[in-house]
Amino acid sequence: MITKTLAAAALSVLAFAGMTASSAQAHGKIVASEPKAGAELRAGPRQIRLRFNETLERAFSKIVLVDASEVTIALPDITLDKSDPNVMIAEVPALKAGQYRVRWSVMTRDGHKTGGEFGFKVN
Amino acid sequence: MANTAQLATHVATVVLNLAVALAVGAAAASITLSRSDAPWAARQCSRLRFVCLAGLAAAMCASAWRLLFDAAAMAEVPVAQAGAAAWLMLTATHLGMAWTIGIGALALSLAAAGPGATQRRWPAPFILAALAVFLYTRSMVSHAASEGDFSAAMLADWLHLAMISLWLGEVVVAGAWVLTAPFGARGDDSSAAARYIASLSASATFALAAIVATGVFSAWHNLGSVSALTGNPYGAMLLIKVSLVGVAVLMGGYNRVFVMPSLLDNLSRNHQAAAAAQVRRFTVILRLESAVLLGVLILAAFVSATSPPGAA
Repeated sequence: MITKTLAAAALSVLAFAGMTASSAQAHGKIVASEPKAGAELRAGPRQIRLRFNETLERAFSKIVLVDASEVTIALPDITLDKSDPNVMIAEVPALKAGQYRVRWSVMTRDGHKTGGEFGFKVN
Repeated sequence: MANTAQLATHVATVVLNLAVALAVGAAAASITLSRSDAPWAARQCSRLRFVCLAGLAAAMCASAWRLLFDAAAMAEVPVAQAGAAAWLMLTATHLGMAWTIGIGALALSLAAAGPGATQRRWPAPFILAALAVFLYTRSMVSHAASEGDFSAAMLADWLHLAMISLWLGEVVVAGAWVLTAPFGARGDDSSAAARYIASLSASATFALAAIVATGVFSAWHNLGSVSALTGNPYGAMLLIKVSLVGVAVLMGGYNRVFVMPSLLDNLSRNHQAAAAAQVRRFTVILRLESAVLLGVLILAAFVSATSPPGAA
Protein backbone atom coordinates (compact mmCIF):
# COMPACT_ATOMS: atom_id res chain seq x y z
CA MET A 1 0.00 0.00 0.00
CA ILE A 2 2.82 2.39 0.93
CA THR A 3 4.61 1.53 -2.30
CA LYS A 4 1.45 2.34 -4.23
CA THR A 5 1.14 5.66 -2.40
CA LEU A 6 4.76 6.56 -3.16
CA ALA A 7 4.29 5.59 -6.81
CA ALA A 8 1.18 7.79 -6.96
CA ALA A 9 3.20 10.64 -5.42
CA ALA A 10 5.94 10.29 -8.03
CA LEU A 11 3.46 10.19 -10.89
CA SER A 12 1.60 13.22 -9.51
CA VAL A 13 4.83 15.17 -9.46
CA LEU A 14 5.31 14.36 -13.16
CA ALA A 15 1.70 15.22 -13.88
CA PHE A 16 1.88 18.65 -12.26
CA ALA A 17 5.17 19.35 -14.03
CA GLY A 18 3.48 18.63 -17.33
CA MET A 19 0.47 20.80 -16.54
CA THR A 20 2.53 23.82 -15.57
CA ALA A 21 4.89 23.54 -18.49
CA SER A 22 1.87 23.37 -20.75
CA SER A 23 0.48 26.62 -19.39
CA ALA A 24 3.79 28.39 -19.36
CA GLN A 25 4.48 27.64 -23.01
CA ALA A 26 1.41 29.67 -23.93
CA HIS A 27 3.39 32.70 -25.07
CA GLY A 28 3.21 33.73 -28.71
CA LYS A 29 6.50 34.08 -30.50
CA ILE A 30 7.42 35.30 -33.94
CA VAL A 31 8.53 32.51 -36.27
CA ALA A 32 9.11 34.43 -39.51
CA SER A 33 9.10 38.00 -40.77
CA GLU A 34 9.27 39.98 -43.96
CA PRO A 35 11.52 41.89 -43.98
CA LYS A 36 13.82 39.63 -41.98
CA ALA A 37 15.48 40.92 -38.83
CA GLY A 38 18.68 42.76 -39.78
CA ALA A 39 17.83 42.75 -43.50
CA GLU A 40 19.43 45.34 -45.81
CA LEU A 41 16.99 46.22 -48.58
CA ARG A 42 17.50 48.05 -51.86
CA ALA A 43 14.03 49.60 -51.55
CA GLY A 44 11.56 49.99 -48.71
CA PRO A 45 9.21 47.02 -48.17
CA ARG A 46 5.59 47.36 -49.30
CA GLN A 47 4.43 45.27 -46.39
CA ILE A 48 5.61 44.14 -43.01
CA ARG A 49 4.47 40.55 -42.60
CA LEU A 50 4.91 38.78 -39.25
CA ARG A 51 4.13 35.10 -38.76
CA PHE A 52 3.55 33.80 -35.20
CA ASN A 53 3.34 30.35 -33.66
CA GLU A 54 -0.25 30.95 -32.49
CA THR A 55 -3.49 32.48 -33.71
CA LEU A 56 -3.64 36.23 -33.11
CA GLU A 57 -6.39 38.52 -31.83
CA ARG A 58 -6.48 41.54 -34.12
CA ALA A 59 -8.20 43.79 -31.56
CA PHE A 60 -5.16 43.73 -29.26
CA SER A 61 -2.29 43.21 -31.71
CA LYS A 62 -0.26 45.96 -33.34
CA ILE A 63 2.84 46.83 -35.33
CA VAL A 64 4.71 50.11 -34.88
CA LEU A 65 7.44 51.24 -37.28
CA VAL A 66 9.99 53.84 -36.17
CA ASP A 67 12.96 55.38 -37.96
CA ALA A 68 16.47 55.93 -36.60
CA SER A 69 15.29 59.08 -34.81
CA GLU A 70 12.49 57.15 -33.09
CA VAL A 71 9.89 58.97 -35.18
CA THR A 72 6.86 56.77 -35.76
CA ILE A 73 5.96 56.03 -39.38
CA ALA A 74 2.18 55.84 -39.70
CA LEU A 75 1.01 52.43 -40.93
CA PRO A 76 -2.42 52.96 -42.49
CA ASP A 77 -3.68 49.40 -42.57
CA ILE A 78 -2.84 46.55 -40.18
CA THR A 79 -4.75 43.30 -40.71
CA LEU A 80 -4.59 39.57 -40.10
CA ASP A 81 -4.09 37.34 -43.13
CA LYS A 82 -7.56 36.06 -44.01
CA SER A 83 -6.22 32.62 -44.86
CA ASP A 84 -3.81 32.40 -41.91
CA PRO A 85 -4.73 34.16 -38.65
CA ASN A 86 -1.20 33.52 -37.33
CA VAL A 87 0.03 36.21 -39.74
CA MET A 88 -0.24 39.97 -39.15
CA ILE A 89 0.31 42.31 -42.09
CA ALA A 90 0.94 46.06 -42.18
CA GLU A 91 0.94 48.09 -45.38
CA VAL A 92 4.01 50.33 -45.42
CA PRO A 93 4.29 53.75 -47.10
CA ALA A 94 7.37 54.63 -49.18
CA LEU A 95 10.42 54.74 -46.94
CA LYS A 96 13.56 56.82 -47.32
CA ALA A 97 16.99 55.27 -46.97
CA GLY A 98 17.89 54.63 -43.36
CA GLN A 99 17.56 52.37 -40.34
CA TYR A 100 14.10 51.30 -39.14
CA ARG A 101 12.78 49.27 -36.24
CA VAL A 102 9.62 47.19 -36.20
CA ARG A 103 7.98 46.97 -32.76
CA TRP A 104 5.19 44.45 -32.39
CA SER A 105 2.91 43.37 -29.61
CA VAL A 106 0.28 40.68 -29.99
CA MET A 107 -2.46 39.02 -28.01
CA THR A 108 -2.74 35.36 -28.89
CA ARG A 109 -5.96 33.34 -28.90
CA ASP A 110 -5.10 31.87 -25.48
CA GLY A 111 -5.15 35.36 -23.94
CA HIS A 112 -1.42 35.99 -23.52
CA LYS A 113 0.35 39.17 -24.60
CA THR A 114 3.88 39.25 -25.92
CA GLY A 115 5.97 41.77 -27.78
CA GLY A 116 9.33 42.33 -29.40
CA GLU A 117 11.21 44.30 -31.99
CA PHE A 118 13.73 43.94 -34.79
CA GLY A 119 15.49 46.25 -37.22
CA PHE A 120 16.09 46.50 -40.94
CA LYS A 121 17.88 48.95 -43.22
CA VAL A 122 16.82 50.58 -46.46
CA ASN A 123 19.81 51.49 -48.65
CA MET B 1 2.88 49.71 -12.06
CA ALA B 2 3.04 46.82 -14.50
CA ASN B 3 4.30 44.57 -11.71
CA THR B 4 1.42 45.63 -9.45
CA ALA B 5 -1.09 44.83 -12.19
CA GLN B 6 0.59 41.49 -12.80
CA LEU B 7 0.47 40.70 -9.09
CA ALA B 8 -3.21 41.65 -8.98
CA THR B 9 -3.87 39.28 -11.88
CA HIS B 10 -2.03 36.45 -10.09
CA VAL B 11 -4.01 37.11 -6.90
CA ALA B 12 -7.26 37.01 -8.90
CA THR B 13 -6.18 33.73 -10.49
CA VAL B 14 -5.45 32.16 -7.09
CA VAL B 15 -8.77 33.39 -5.67
CA LEU B 16 -10.65 32.17 -8.75
CA ASN B 17 -9.09 28.70 -8.66
CA LEU B 18 -9.60 28.34 -4.92
CA ALA B 19 -13.19 29.63 -5.05
CA VAL B 20 -14.14 27.24 -7.86
CA ALA B 21 -12.44 24.36 -6.03
CA LEU B 22 -14.46 25.21 -2.91
CA ALA B 23 -17.71 25.20 -4.88
CA VAL B 24 -16.79 21.90 -6.55
CA GLY B 25 -15.77 20.35 -3.22
CA ALA B 26 -18.94 21.52 -1.46
CA ALA B 27 -21.22 20.26 -4.24
CA ALA B 28 -19.43 16.89 -4.47
CA ALA B 29 -19.55 16.38 -0.69
CA SER B 30 -23.21 17.34 -0.60
CA ILE B 31 -24.08 14.65 -3.15
CA THR B 32 -22.63 11.99 -0.84
CA LEU B 33 -24.15 13.41 2.34
CA SER B 34 -27.62 13.93 0.85
CA ARG B 35 -27.93 10.14 0.38
CA SER B 36 -28.17 9.75 4.17
CA ASP B 37 -31.16 10.55 6.37
CA ALA B 38 -28.97 11.16 9.42
CA PRO B 39 -29.43 14.57 11.11
CA TRP B 40 -25.66 15.21 11.07
CA ALA B 41 -25.54 14.68 7.28
CA ALA B 42 -28.55 16.98 6.75
CA ARG B 43 -26.86 19.75 8.77
CA GLN B 44 -23.69 19.40 6.70
CA CYS B 45 -25.65 19.62 3.44
CA SER B 46 -27.15 22.87 4.61
CA ARG B 47 -23.75 24.30 5.62
CA LEU B 48 -22.18 23.17 2.37
CA ARG B 49 -24.80 25.03 0.37
CA PHE B 50 -23.54 28.27 1.89
CA VAL B 51 -19.90 27.28 1.30
CA CYS B 52 -20.80 26.63 -2.34
CA LEU B 53 -22.63 29.96 -2.63
CA ALA B 54 -19.66 31.81 -1.15
CA GLY B 55 -17.28 30.02 -3.53
CA LEU B 56 -19.43 30.85 -6.55
CA ALA B 57 -19.79 34.52 -5.58
CA ALA B 58 -16.04 34.82 -4.99
CA ALA B 59 -15.36 33.11 -8.33
CA MET B 60 -17.59 35.59 -10.17
CA CYS B 61 -15.85 38.56 -8.52
CA ALA B 62 -12.38 37.14 -9.25
CA SER B 63 -13.37 36.39 -12.83
CA ALA B 64 -14.55 39.99 -13.38
CA TRP B 65 -11.38 41.25 -11.69
CA ARG B 66 -9.24 39.16 -14.03
CA LEU B 67 -11.09 40.36 -17.11
CA LEU B 68 -10.52 43.99 -16.17
CA PHE B 69 -6.81 43.49 -15.46
CA ASP B 70 -6.34 41.34 -18.57
CA ALA B 71 -8.03 44.02 -20.70
CA ALA B 72 -5.81 46.73 -19.18
CA ALA B 73 -2.69 44.66 -19.86
CA MET B 74 -3.71 43.85 -23.44
CA ALA B 75 -4.67 47.45 -24.27
CA GLU B 76 -1.64 48.82 -22.39
CA VAL B 77 -3.77 51.26 -20.40
CA PRO B 78 -4.23 51.83 -16.65
CA VAL B 79 -6.90 49.65 -15.02
CA ALA B 80 -9.01 52.73 -14.30
CA GLN B 81 -9.28 53.33 -18.06
CA ALA B 82 -9.79 49.71 -19.07
CA GLY B 83 -13.59 49.79 -19.42
CA ALA B 84 -13.57 50.21 -23.21
CA ALA B 85 -10.81 47.62 -23.58
CA ALA B 86 -12.80 45.15 -21.45
CA TRP B 87 -15.81 45.64 -23.71
CA LEU B 88 -13.64 45.19 -26.82
CA MET B 89 -12.18 42.04 -25.29
CA LEU B 90 -15.65 40.69 -24.54
CA THR B 91 -17.00 41.37 -28.01
CA ALA B 92 -14.01 40.82 -30.28
CA THR B 93 -11.80 38.07 -28.83
CA HIS B 94 -11.87 34.35 -28.17
CA LEU B 95 -10.98 35.07 -24.55
CA GLY B 96 -14.07 37.29 -24.29
CA MET B 97 -16.31 34.57 -25.69
CA ALA B 98 -14.89 31.99 -23.27
CA TRP B 99 -15.26 34.45 -20.37
CA THR B 100 -18.90 35.14 -21.24
CA ILE B 101 -19.76 31.43 -21.33
CA GLY B 102 -17.86 30.90 -18.08
CA ILE B 103 -19.50 33.72 -16.16
CA GLY B 104 -22.87 32.51 -17.46
CA ALA B 105 -22.17 29.04 -16.03
CA LEU B 106 -21.18 30.57 -12.68
CA ALA B 107 -24.33 32.73 -12.63
CA LEU B 108 -26.53 29.71 -13.37
CA SER B 109 -24.85 27.79 -10.54
CA LEU B 110 -25.37 30.68 -8.18
CA ALA B 111 -29.05 30.91 -9.10
CA ALA B 112 -29.50 27.14 -8.67
CA ALA B 113 -27.96 27.15 -5.17
CA GLY B 114 -29.63 30.43 -4.22
CA PRO B 115 -32.74 31.26 -2.20
CA GLY B 116 -35.07 28.98 -4.18
CA ALA B 117 -33.09 25.84 -3.29
CA THR B 118 -34.02 23.75 -0.28
CA GLN B 119 -31.47 23.72 2.50
CA ARG B 120 -30.82 20.04 2.30
CA ARG B 121 -31.32 18.87 -1.25
CA TRP B 122 -29.91 21.67 -3.34
CA PRO B 123 -29.11 20.78 -6.96
CA ALA B 124 -25.46 19.88 -6.47
CA PRO B 125 -25.25 17.68 -9.63
CA PHE B 126 -26.50 20.58 -11.78
CA ILE B 127 -23.97 22.90 -10.13
CA LEU B 128 -21.16 20.42 -10.76
CA ALA B 129 -22.20 20.22 -14.44
CA ALA B 130 -22.24 24.03 -14.73
CA LEU B 131 -18.83 24.23 -13.03
CA ALA B 132 -17.54 21.66 -15.53
CA VAL B 133 -18.63 24.06 -18.29
CA PHE B 134 -16.88 26.92 -16.48
CA LEU B 135 -13.66 24.89 -16.20
CA TYR B 136 -13.86 24.06 -19.91
CA THR B 137 -13.88 27.78 -20.65
CA ARG B 138 -10.68 28.09 -18.60
CA SER B 139 -9.09 25.45 -20.82
CA MET B 140 -10.31 27.41 -23.86
CA VAL B 141 -7.82 30.15 -22.95
CA SER B 142 -4.94 27.84 -22.12
CA HIS B 143 -2.20 26.54 -24.37
CA ALA B 144 -4.27 23.41 -24.90
CA ALA B 145 -6.62 25.48 -27.09
CA SER B 146 -3.93 26.04 -29.72
CA GLU B 147 -5.41 23.16 -31.74
CA GLY B 148 -8.95 24.51 -31.44
CA ASP B 149 -11.62 24.33 -28.77
CA PHE B 150 -12.30 20.62 -29.23
CA SER B 151 -9.27 18.34 -29.21
CA ALA B 152 -7.62 15.61 -27.16
CA ALA B 153 -5.31 18.22 -25.62
CA MET B 154 -8.32 20.30 -24.56
CA LEU B 155 -10.06 17.28 -23.08
CA ALA B 156 -6.95 16.38 -21.10
CA ASP B 157 -6.46 19.96 -19.87
CA TRP B 158 -10.12 20.25 -18.84
CA LEU B 159 -10.13 16.92 -16.99
CA HIS B 160 -6.89 17.92 -15.31
CA LEU B 161 -8.37 21.21 -14.06
CA ALA B 162 -11.61 19.54 -12.99
CA MET B 163 -9.85 16.80 -11.04
CA ILE B 164 -7.46 19.22 -9.34
CA SER B 165 -10.48 21.33 -8.32
CA LEU B 166 -12.20 18.22 -7.00
CA TRP B 167 -9.17 17.08 -5.01
CA LEU B 168 -8.41 20.50 -3.51
CA GLY B 169 -12.07 21.33 -2.91
CA GLU B 170 -12.89 18.06 -1.19
CA VAL B 171 -9.85 18.26 1.07
CA VAL B 172 -10.54 21.87 2.11
CA VAL B 173 -14.27 21.32 2.60
CA ALA B 174 -13.71 18.20 4.71
CA GLY B 175 -10.95 19.72 6.83
CA ALA B 176 -12.53 23.13 7.35
CA TRP B 177 -16.24 22.32 7.60
CA VAL B 178 -17.71 18.83 7.39
CA LEU B 179 -15.43 16.93 9.75
CA THR B 180 -15.19 19.78 12.26
CA ALA B 181 -18.90 19.35 13.03
CA PRO B 182 -19.32 16.91 15.94
CA PHE B 183 -21.38 13.79 15.32
CA GLY B 184 -24.32 13.05 17.57
CA ALA B 185 -24.57 9.87 19.60
CA ARG B 186 -26.86 8.36 16.97
CA GLY B 187 -25.64 5.35 15.05
CA ASP B 188 -26.88 6.72 11.74
CA ASP B 189 -24.75 9.85 12.25
CA SER B 190 -21.66 7.66 12.63
CA SER B 191 -22.64 5.61 9.59
CA ALA B 192 -23.15 8.76 7.52
CA ALA B 193 -19.75 10.08 8.60
CA ALA B 194 -18.10 6.77 7.75
CA ARG B 195 -19.69 6.73 4.30
CA TYR B 196 -18.61 10.33 3.74
CA ILE B 197 -15.00 9.65 4.73
CA ALA B 198 -14.84 6.51 2.57
CA SER B 199 -16.34 8.43 -0.36
CA LEU B 200 -13.90 11.33 0.17
CA SER B 201 -10.96 8.95 0.06
CA ALA B 202 -12.28 7.10 -3.01
CA SER B 203 -12.99 10.23 -5.01
CA ALA B 204 -9.65 11.82 -4.04
CA THR B 205 -7.89 8.65 -5.22
CA PHE B 206 -9.91 8.68 -8.45
CA ALA B 207 -9.10 12.39 -8.94
CA LEU B 208 -5.40 11.71 -8.33
CA ALA B 209 -5.40 8.90 -10.91
CA ALA B 210 -7.09 11.19 -13.47
CA ILE B 211 -4.63 13.99 -12.66
CA VAL B 212 -1.73 11.62 -13.27
CA ALA B 213 -3.16 10.27 -16.53
CA THR B 214 -4.06 13.67 -17.99
CA GLY B 215 -0.87 15.27 -16.66
CA VAL B 216 1.34 12.64 -18.27
CA PHE B 217 -0.59 13.09 -21.53
CA SER B 218 -0.15 16.88 -21.37
CA ALA B 219 3.54 16.50 -20.55
CA TRP B 220 3.97 14.18 -23.54
CA HIS B 221 1.96 16.54 -25.74
CA ASN B 222 3.42 19.89 -24.69
CA LEU B 223 6.68 19.59 -22.74
CA GLY B 224 9.74 20.24 -24.87
CA SER B 225 12.49 18.70 -22.75
CA VAL B 226 13.21 17.85 -19.13
CA SER B 227 16.48 19.81 -19.26
CA ALA B 228 14.46 23.04 -19.70
CA LEU B 229 13.25 22.61 -16.11
CA THR B 230 16.65 23.26 -14.47
CA GLY B 231 19.04 26.19 -14.13
CA ASN B 232 16.52 29.04 -14.44
CA PRO B 233 13.92 30.86 -12.28
CA TYR B 234 11.06 29.04 -13.97
CA GLY B 235 12.59 25.68 -13.19
CA ALA B 236 13.31 26.65 -9.58
CA MET B 237 9.69 27.74 -9.00
CA LEU B 238 8.41 24.62 -10.65
CA LEU B 239 10.59 22.33 -8.55
CA ILE B 240 9.35 23.97 -5.33
CA LYS B 241 5.77 23.61 -6.51
CA VAL B 242 6.18 20.02 -7.54
CA SER B 243 7.84 19.22 -4.18
CA LEU B 244 4.80 20.67 -2.41
CA VAL B 245 2.51 18.48 -4.52
CA GLY B 246 4.56 15.46 -3.49
CA VAL B 247 4.17 16.44 0.18
CA ALA B 248 0.38 16.82 -0.24
CA VAL B 249 0.10 13.41 -1.89
CA LEU B 250 2.11 11.81 0.93
CA MET B 251 -0.16 13.45 3.52
CA GLY B 252 -3.22 12.10 1.77
CA GLY B 253 -1.58 8.69 1.57
CA TYR B 254 -0.76 8.76 5.29
CA ASN B 255 -4.39 9.52 6.14
CA ARG B 256 -5.63 6.75 3.88
CA VAL B 257 -3.15 4.11 5.03
CA PHE B 258 -2.61 4.86 8.71
CA VAL B 259 -5.65 6.78 10.00
CA MET B 260 -8.69 5.89 7.93
CA PRO B 261 -8.96 2.11 8.50
CA SER B 262 -9.24 2.32 12.29
CA LEU B 263 -11.37 5.49 12.03
CA LEU B 264 -13.91 3.73 9.82
CA ASP B 265 -13.82 0.71 12.13
CA ASN B 266 -14.61 2.84 15.19
CA LEU B 267 -17.36 4.72 13.35
CA SER B 268 -18.98 1.49 12.19
CA ARG B 269 -18.97 0.21 15.81
CA ASN B 270 -20.19 3.63 17.02
CA HIS B 271 -17.26 3.97 19.44
CA GLN B 272 -17.78 7.70 19.94
CA ALA B 273 -14.69 8.70 21.95
CA ALA B 274 -12.19 6.73 19.89
CA ALA B 275 -13.76 7.88 16.61
CA ALA B 276 -13.74 11.54 17.71
CA ALA B 277 -10.02 11.42 18.52
CA GLN B 278 -9.25 9.83 15.17
CA VAL B 279 -11.44 12.31 13.29
CA ARG B 280 -9.41 15.11 14.89
CA ARG B 281 -6.18 13.47 13.72
CA PHE B 282 -7.64 12.91 10.24
CA THR B 283 -8.81 16.55 10.10
CA VAL B 284 -5.47 18.00 11.22
CA ILE B 285 -3.76 16.19 8.35
CA LEU B 286 -6.46 17.35 5.92
CA ARG B 287 -5.86 20.94 7.02
CA LEU B 288 -2.11 20.59 6.58
CA GLU B 289 -2.73 19.08 3.14
CA SER B 290 -5.04 22.02 2.33
CA ALA B 291 -2.33 24.52 3.33
CA VAL B 292 0.23 22.76 1.17
CA LEU B 293 -2.18 22.64 -1.79
CA LEU B 294 -2.91 26.35 -1.31
CA GLY B 295 0.83 26.94 -1.62
CA VAL B 296 0.78 24.93 -4.84
CA LEU B 297 -2.10 27.05 -6.12
CA ILE B 298 -0.23 30.29 -5.40
CA LEU B 299 2.96 29.04 -7.04
CA ALA B 300 1.00 27.75 -10.03
CA ALA B 301 -0.37 31.24 -10.71
CA PHE B 302 3.18 32.59 -10.93
CA VAL B 303 4.70 29.68 -12.80
CA SER B 304 1.96 29.61 -15.44
CA ALA B 305 2.67 33.26 -16.28
CA THR B 306 6.44 32.68 -16.53
CA SER B 307 8.07 31.66 -19.77
CA PRO B 308 10.25 28.60 -19.59
CA PRO B 309 13.68 29.04 -21.18
CA GLY B 310 13.31 29.36 -24.95
CA ALA B 311 9.52 29.48 -24.93
CA ALA B 312 9.04 33.15 -25.70
